[in-house]
Amino acid sequence: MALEFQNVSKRFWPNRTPALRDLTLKVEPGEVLGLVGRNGAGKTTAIRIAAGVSLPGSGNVQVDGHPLDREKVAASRLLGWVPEESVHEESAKVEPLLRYYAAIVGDVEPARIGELLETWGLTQFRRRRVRTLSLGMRRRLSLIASELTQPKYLLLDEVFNGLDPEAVVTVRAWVRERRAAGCGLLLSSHNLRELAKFADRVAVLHEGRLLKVLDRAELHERPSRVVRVQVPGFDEAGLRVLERFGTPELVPGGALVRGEGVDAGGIAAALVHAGYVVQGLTREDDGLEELYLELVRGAT
Amino acid sequence: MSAILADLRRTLFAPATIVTLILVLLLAGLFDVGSTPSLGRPFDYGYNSGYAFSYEYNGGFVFWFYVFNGHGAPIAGANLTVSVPAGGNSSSVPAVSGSATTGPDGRATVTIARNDSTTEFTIESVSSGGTDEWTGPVGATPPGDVVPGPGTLSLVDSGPYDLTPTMLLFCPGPSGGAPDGPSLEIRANYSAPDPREVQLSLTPVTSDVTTYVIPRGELPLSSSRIDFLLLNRNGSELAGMSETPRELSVVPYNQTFWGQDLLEDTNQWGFVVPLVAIGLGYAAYARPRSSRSLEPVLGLPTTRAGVLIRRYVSAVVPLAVVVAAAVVIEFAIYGPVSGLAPALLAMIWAGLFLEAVAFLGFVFLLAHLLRSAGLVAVVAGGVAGFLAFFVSDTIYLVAELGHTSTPSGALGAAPLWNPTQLAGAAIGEYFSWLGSPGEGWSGLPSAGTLFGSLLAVTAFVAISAPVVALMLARRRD
Repeated sequence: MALEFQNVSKRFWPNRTPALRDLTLKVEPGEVLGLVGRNGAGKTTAIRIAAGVSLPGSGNVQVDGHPLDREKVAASRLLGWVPEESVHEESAKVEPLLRYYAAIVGDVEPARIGELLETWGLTQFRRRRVRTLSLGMRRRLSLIASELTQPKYLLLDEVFNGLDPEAVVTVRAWVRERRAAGCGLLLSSHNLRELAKFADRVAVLHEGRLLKVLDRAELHERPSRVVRVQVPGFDEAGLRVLERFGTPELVPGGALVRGEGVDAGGIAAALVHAGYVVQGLTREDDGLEELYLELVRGAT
Repeated sequence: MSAILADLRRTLFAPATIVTLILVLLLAGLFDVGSTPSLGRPFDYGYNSGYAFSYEYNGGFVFWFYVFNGHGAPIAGANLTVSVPAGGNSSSVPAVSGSATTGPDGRATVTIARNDSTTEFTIESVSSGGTDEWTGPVGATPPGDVVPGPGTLSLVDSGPYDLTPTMLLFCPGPSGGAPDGPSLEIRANYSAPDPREVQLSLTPVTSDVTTYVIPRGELPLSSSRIDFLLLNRNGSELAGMSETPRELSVVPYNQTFWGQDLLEDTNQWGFVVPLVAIGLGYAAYARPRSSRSLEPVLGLPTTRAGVLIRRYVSAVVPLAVVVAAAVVIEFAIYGPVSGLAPALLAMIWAGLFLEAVAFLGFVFLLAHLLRSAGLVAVVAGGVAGFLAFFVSDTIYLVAELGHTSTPSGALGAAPLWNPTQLAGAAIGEYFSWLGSPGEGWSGLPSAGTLFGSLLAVTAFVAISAPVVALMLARRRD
């Protein structure tokens, strides 16, 4: 049981640019799979194909064994889609639009729309037309629409883009809650660091091709490249202590140590041994961007 | 089911639908719908008096009337009044008048008890078609001689864009009974200096009301005048009427005046109804597709085919209601309701509906071929305008069927249902028609061929366009 891309390819007219090339990928229930790549890498295309909004040129998507091309209704009952842009009918009012979507879904309890409006803070805007809503409110409308099917898999396309900090926190909490509830999430972003906060795995796409799927270990257990040391009254002598761990640099409140696989534990021990009071030791760079760039450079 | 109703509600309340309906009402006002309705023509053509009478003198005057609509069908309930002023041959005779109301057969009889040998009579007809008044001399004649009055020979179903001009003959016999051996002769006169005349037909008259379809295709190309003569049993002329071929023919596309004349002369509903279809297709499918607001729906548990079919149905249902309303309004206010059977009204509705559905399918198809919904509307509207203003469209199919008062008669009169007619060389005939406008009769295709071909093309588009759109929807984004 999973959401599976099976050798999915897609080209766009009129110049036949390949948007996806032979993508094979699987999202398990209870897992957050990130999709990362620069603009035009194929993230949105992959999500739109999985949502049934766009048709693959070849290959197929299966949702818990239901092929999207032949069992679209059954497959879509397990899916919820949050598009990057608001593509809802601009002239429609919020609640009637949701009731329209509910009528298409078919088995939505009448009270559920009210509950979802309340949950996402749109109750007071339920009579407003879509065109009058802010970007954040439109995103919430999309989130509500995606929940009408009570989906087992969620397809979230750049879901944090354009949101205010409060909304980002809300959506993050929702993503975690859905994962905890056993929902599989496919979450696209061009921000690998943001994805790494949620994702169990991250698929790196480049020019429509899947370069690599980074697992949890690769995402979270990469050696540090920069370590910040917080030591009051840090001085040149302290820098000399740090030289054997990398390239130290004096900064206000302490120092930065750069190098491949900087040993944070060793730094702490050496500084204490030298008589410094270490107030903090943080990894400034988890190496994700560098890893991504390496993958892309390798592909090109 | 709830999904279909939801789509129906969405389409009905879509801004484009509301704008379209307002636009259509404005256009209807601009066109002055009803001033020259394409079906049920009122009495504003010079050669269509709307009533006919004949009289007989036998010590008093007996007038036999027949009141008819633009198709020659009877109008019931028309009030006829014959007035004679005081004086005349006997100066002491006071003014007298008589009146009667036509029955379902459009006929009425008025008796005037006055024995003047000659005097001025005033005759007024008031019917749903309008009011007509005639004043002229009516003289005493030998008993048994029936004198034809105005309207004895009347052209019906003629004028701009009518395809089958018909001569209506009202010719009652003595005492209002069967005709006493008259005949109708149709003659064509060649243009000067050619002095020839040719007899086209000589037909015995056996009924008091008869219609003769004018054999347009048989008329000489260079004929300048067509004479219609009612002859008595001895061959002498009882009544006559002349027309030119131009007046009997279709007004060619390039001789229609622009502006108000064009708007008044064209087939209003033939343009307005496609506009409604285009508006509904735009609201239901073209606009949502181009604005991508269809995408959230495609992401729900439904299929692409299901979305298209529901949106199509959501436009077809209101379209059927609008077309029905258009027909009801046209006939209730302006048309000869008394002259047409309900089945014919249903056929008229079906003809307009077929045309509307063809345009709806066309819009759905265009929505898959063109990115911009605005462009879809412009292209479809352009086609609708071209067909309505320059080509007779399917409403004339039903106009043709409307020539007779019963469906079976209509079907018998129009060869539209003959498959060989449907397969006729529509394009060739049509271009020959365009190529020789206004030059007489030869360039005109038969009404059956033209209408049959248009019907076939319309039906083909109505069926194939949504099917192709469905295929594209399932295979392309």
